[in-house]
Amino acid sequence: MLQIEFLIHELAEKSGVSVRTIRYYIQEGLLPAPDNKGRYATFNEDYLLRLELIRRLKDAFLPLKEIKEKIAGLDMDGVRDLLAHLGTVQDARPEMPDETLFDGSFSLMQMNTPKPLDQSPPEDDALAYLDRVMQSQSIAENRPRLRPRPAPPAPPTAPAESWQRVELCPGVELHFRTALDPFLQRRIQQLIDYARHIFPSSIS
Amino acid sequence: MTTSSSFTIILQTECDRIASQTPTQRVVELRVCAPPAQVSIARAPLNLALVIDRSGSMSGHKLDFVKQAARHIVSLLTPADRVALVSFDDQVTVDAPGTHMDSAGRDRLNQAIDRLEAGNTTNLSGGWMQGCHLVAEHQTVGSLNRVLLLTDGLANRGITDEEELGTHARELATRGVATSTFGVGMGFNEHLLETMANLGSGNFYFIAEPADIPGIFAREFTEIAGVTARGVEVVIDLPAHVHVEVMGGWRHELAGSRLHLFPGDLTNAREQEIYLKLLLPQSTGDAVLELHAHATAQSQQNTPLSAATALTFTYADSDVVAAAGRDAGLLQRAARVAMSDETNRALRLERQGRREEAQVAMQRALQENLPNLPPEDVERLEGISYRMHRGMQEDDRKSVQYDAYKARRRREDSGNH
Repeated sequence: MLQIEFLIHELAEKSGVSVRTIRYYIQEGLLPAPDNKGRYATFNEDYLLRLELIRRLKDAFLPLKEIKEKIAGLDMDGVRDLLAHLGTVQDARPEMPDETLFDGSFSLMQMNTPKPLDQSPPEDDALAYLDRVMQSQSIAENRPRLRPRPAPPAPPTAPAESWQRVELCPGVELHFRTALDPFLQRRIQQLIDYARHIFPSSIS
Repeated sequence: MTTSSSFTIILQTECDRIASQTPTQRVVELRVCAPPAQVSIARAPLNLALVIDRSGSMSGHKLDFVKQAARHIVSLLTPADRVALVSFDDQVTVDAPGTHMDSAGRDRLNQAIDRLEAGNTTNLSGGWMQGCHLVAEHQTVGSLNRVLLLTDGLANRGITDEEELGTHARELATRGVATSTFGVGMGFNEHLLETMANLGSGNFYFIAEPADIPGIFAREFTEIAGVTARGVEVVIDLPAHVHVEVMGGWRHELAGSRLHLFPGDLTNAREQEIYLKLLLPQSTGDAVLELHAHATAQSQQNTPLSAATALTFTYADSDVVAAAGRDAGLLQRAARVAMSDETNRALRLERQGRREEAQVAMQRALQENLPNLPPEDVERLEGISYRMHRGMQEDDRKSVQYDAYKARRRREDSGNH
């Protein structure tokens, strides 16, 4: 049977997966290495099915590593079988880890150091970047908890305070903390001045 | 100054005389202006993901307003646009993958919106990344790709670290997927959401009242739909021994003597100001010191936009420099941005319970910027400084942080109310 063959950008166009992501999948072993007959690598229609399968598995939230385990070594019949199977159980998702197993500190272990400053464009596209990060993240989440979750920081307590009381008139008092900053002290003085104005007989 | 399609860049300083014998500090105001929208030209197709927090605290009217807001956005889109809907509590659900907004797609999305239900804890990173992934899957040349993340809570599952999430937001923005963030109520981490938006080349919104969700979502939508300069990048070539500090929290990179600034996507004729603090070296025999700036972006029609400009400083004796006039308006604008940066830093200290340090930092910054600030600003900032020392209420923290954010980004015109 004569197979139609594509160049990588044609495959990208047909599958809706970017060239960079296709290269990334090949590099990661999710796709077999292409045929290099002539000057350019060519891809047959089987690649479209394989890419579709990867997409379905990703939709099911499988990390790339698990996708690779599932599909590495599958022949085309295997690919078609799995695709047909996924068509019926597309909504099944792997169970998320129990929350008690998750230690928030792992995310720090996975932390990217700030990128060194360079002018070259990023080597991967957004999709390949996300696949990488999300995969490492799901590995971190599945790790057993090694130490207890750090206690939440204690709520900040107010410093020791002393308060001053000024009687504005019988039955009316003004309370304020002593050693306030100059801004507030000015305001309080204004308030007392005003009180003196409206309670003329009561403030000494 | 050269321009194309009225995409412009301007560099200004408070005083172009600098001292020959000693280093001089100068503020530079950079203004990039997006071309006006042309009605006859269709806007770029939008490729969006709505990422919605459905943790327990969102239940009731908050989630109802979110649904109303999401349905409104769906109603504004055209068949060329794509939207995905992701919701998260401790689990992440793709409620609708990237879907074209033809009538069938619209129905599908509206059904997905109606089905949203509140759950339990908050896997913010998982939901956000899933949204980014759905957008990235449909990223095409010319599409405007953005994730809108709405949450009312703290990230407590998945990646929770601000620096790490910020790094991912920056890396994704570099790769063409921007992030805008919406914090609702009093329970979210305002610093995390602002950092994600700043590094993610998007906008941050504080929504105190759930009833404001639809209006603010609509405003973000108007802004995205009105973008006339996509992926703006400004490159400034710095002469030797010039030190630069970028104010306002803008995403930037310094590569050797080149400063790259990334203002992101600019809307219809909007002018974005960015302030730089420069330390300029004394003369090594030259009479002048020149800064060259070059701005690039993609237009509405997906053609390249480009503009260039230069700023010349002239060396002079120190008494001449001291006597030269200063642009007081420019210094005031820059001082407000500088104070907002400092307020943001001090708010982080205050939140950690380091109130003395917060107040000291505010007072130091106030002393430094006092000559360039109007009295009403000084009074307001003194008040903030005092409240930091005393300990702030959550609504006060969030309002002060949001005001500072808008001032840092020069977005005062787009206030919350």
